[in-house]
Amino acid sequence: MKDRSLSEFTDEELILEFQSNGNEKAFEILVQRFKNPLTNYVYRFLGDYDSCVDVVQDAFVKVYRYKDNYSSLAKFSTWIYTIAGNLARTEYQRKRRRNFFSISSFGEEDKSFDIPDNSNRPDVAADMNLKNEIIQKALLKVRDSYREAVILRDVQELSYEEIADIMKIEVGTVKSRINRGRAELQKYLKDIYND
Amino acid sequence: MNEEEKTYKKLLDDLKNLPKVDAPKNFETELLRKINSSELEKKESFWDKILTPGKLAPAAVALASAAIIFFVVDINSEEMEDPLNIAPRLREDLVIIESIEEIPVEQLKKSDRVKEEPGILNEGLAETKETETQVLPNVVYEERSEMNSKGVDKSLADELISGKLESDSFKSDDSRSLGGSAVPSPVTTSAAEISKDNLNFMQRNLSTEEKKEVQQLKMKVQTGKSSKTEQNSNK
Repeated sequence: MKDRSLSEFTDEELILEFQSNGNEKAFEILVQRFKNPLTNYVYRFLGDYDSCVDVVQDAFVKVYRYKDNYSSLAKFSTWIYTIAGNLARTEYQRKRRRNFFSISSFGEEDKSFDIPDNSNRPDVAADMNLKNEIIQKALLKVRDSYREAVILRDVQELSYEEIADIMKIEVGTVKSRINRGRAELQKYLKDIYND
Repeated sequence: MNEEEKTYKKLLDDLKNLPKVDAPKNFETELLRKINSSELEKKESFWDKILTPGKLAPAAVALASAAIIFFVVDINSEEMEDPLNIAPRLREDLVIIESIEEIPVEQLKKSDRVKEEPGILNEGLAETKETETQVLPNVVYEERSEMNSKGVDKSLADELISGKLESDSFKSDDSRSLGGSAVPSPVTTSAAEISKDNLNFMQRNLSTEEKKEVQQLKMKVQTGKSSKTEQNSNK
């Protein structure tokens, strides 16, 4: 009965319940609600499933440990997206340092590398799975800050205001970054969209 | 839909239709495991880290030693002497004896005994090998015999010597030296009994006539003293 009522709570009510009463059921419901959106967001940002699962779990661990740091003035989704985004950025930079001598070039906005890849051929691109793979690869080439904004807006479908809160920037900056990110992405995917 | 979205319509549709990536089935289990392990590794506070006995003990020792050094060593002390301005140290173990009167009676007696028993001399020499001076009992004996031959009454001379030397501080038993020649040799004495004022490093060679005059003066003084003591005893 109590579980049923908890499931009807908003995100903010659940985290307050967890804060004030230490009700771990409230935390579990929050995990259920946010684990898939966060996994999707972090995966699109990192491009690596194992790393993305670790990052999302670390984000929930931080919520659990530092639940008292949450302020009821902000939306819970904004708070947890900010935590996950920060952890994802850290993980991405760590991976980039590790793959410094790799052929992959992350964050190079002005350079376009012609990597021989059969999936770039128009006939193969027709396949949806391959197309999605190409889009994901192109996303990873976009600069970090643009990519984050594009993912939050066009993949996660969050509002500009929410994105501004998550990234702690102005709404105008968010729009600008989204446009630039889209332009970059379009450039990397020109073989698909020039047909 | 604004102009920008029309430009990127295909792209935006593709992004929107990207397959959703879900969390694995064991996500909650792994999450609980991480939470439990993180609870064990809960971060200690700064004061908890500082106030552990393992860190307090060395800090306390360092503090105590710093306090001791501060109170014991006075950096601004005026008593500190500039090593370049210190007067040279006195060789307290070196005393120049110019005449027989300055030799302690005990040493004279001992030197006599040493003469009688040469074995003792050898032992004494062996014992004082490490010292700077050496015992020369023969010379002492010769000096005394010389005094006797010059007409000085032995008992009087002994009395004179003892009277003079009782107040003297030369009591070294182990090593002493007499200058057989005109220049006297140094004699070792105990450092605690010698003060700077009593030392006279000026070396002067007395002629035999001068020595006689000095002896006569001393005898006069001594006879005057002895007559006074007799009068006192008669009273």
